Amino acid sequence: MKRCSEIRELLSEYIDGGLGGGAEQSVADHLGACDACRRELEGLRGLLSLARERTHEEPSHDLWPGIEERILGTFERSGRIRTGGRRFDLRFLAGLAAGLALALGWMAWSDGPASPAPEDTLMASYLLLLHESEDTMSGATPDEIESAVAEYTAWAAELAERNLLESAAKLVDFAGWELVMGDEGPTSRPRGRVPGIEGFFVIRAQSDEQALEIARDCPHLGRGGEVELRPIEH
Amino acid sequence: MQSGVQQRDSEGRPIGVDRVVTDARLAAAGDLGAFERLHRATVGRVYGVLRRLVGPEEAEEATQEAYVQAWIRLPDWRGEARFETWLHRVAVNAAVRGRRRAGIRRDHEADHAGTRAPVAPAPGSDERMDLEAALGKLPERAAQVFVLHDAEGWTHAEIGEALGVSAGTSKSQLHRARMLLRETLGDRESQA
Repeated sequence: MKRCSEIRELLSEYIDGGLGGGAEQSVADHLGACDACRRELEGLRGLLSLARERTHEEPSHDLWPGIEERILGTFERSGRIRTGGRRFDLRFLAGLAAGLALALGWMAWSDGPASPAPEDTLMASYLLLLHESEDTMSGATPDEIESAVAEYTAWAAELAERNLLESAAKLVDFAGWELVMGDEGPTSRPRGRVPGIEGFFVIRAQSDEQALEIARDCPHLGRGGEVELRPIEH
Repeated sequence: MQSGVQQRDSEGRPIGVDRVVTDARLAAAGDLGAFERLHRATVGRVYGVLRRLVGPEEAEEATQEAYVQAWIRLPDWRGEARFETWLHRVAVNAAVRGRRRAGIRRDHEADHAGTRAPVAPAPGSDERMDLEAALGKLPERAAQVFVLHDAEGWTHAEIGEALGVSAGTSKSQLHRARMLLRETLGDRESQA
């Protein structure tokens, strides 16, 4: 049987479950017979639970002004900053694609990408349809709507930066018509308040898997809406 | 946001769409107001871990530097890790780099043996104050490994990467730290 000093050298790894096999068994055997080593093990466990106690602690003063000052200094160099989330039109995603095109120097629909990446030829286009659910934004305050739109914008901006966004639009809520062919030709009626399509993105991806991966990150899913992904036929 | 399957908690709220995630995405797109909200929501935990890592005298400076680094790196955050996990990694890496630079300076001045300034009592239980004080007496590397492994839950591989040592070194430093802390804190128990 091992001596207490040898056992104590192993307790740290024992507690992490890293010993395994015979070593673990011999420590367990020893602990079964030795009060002193068992107390040491308990002490070690106490230390670990003390360490894991939430270490939430507020600094003695507000650190934000200093952080902001340094970031604004960084901005002078990098040019990446936007206060208040107002670089793009925040009221309507309809302005999104145009805003992105301006902001990123990328003319989405007129001339195509300014500098097509070499892998462009391998890219396929996909339509992401954003289906509304009953509670997507109902009862939201203007602030919440603004923050939601900015979230979509941030997501889309990242796609645009990776050259994977072709266009995007938000459809007007509670408006539009439904047309059907009747006996006397097409008839139309105002679209009622039914869950429908809120907007769309046209994205580019090298594979269905990549398109799915992009769609999975769409903020719409996190807001209770559904996303439909459809490859566009060429 | 990581999964396409909409998960909801017991009260029907979507899981994973919290304020922090929304603000992180806004901040990644350059929204400084969102970043300030993020800072206010997370600074207590970030300051808490940095205080243990670098000591109270340097903790506030390290925290400010951590958030500046987080701002710069936010566009790299792809949501593959929880935002707080990512933020702590950035904060720890910045602090360790800062300590390394400071260590080099101190080596030149030859006035430092690799331990940190003693930790002043932090608010909290007596036991926790003892732990913080005992941490301040440990060799710096051992203290860092203990904080990251036992308080923050990092793996030895992650610690090794952040501190620039092997996973084996991290393991042996952890053992050393625990034994020294047990000695120090055990003494206090027996005095009490």
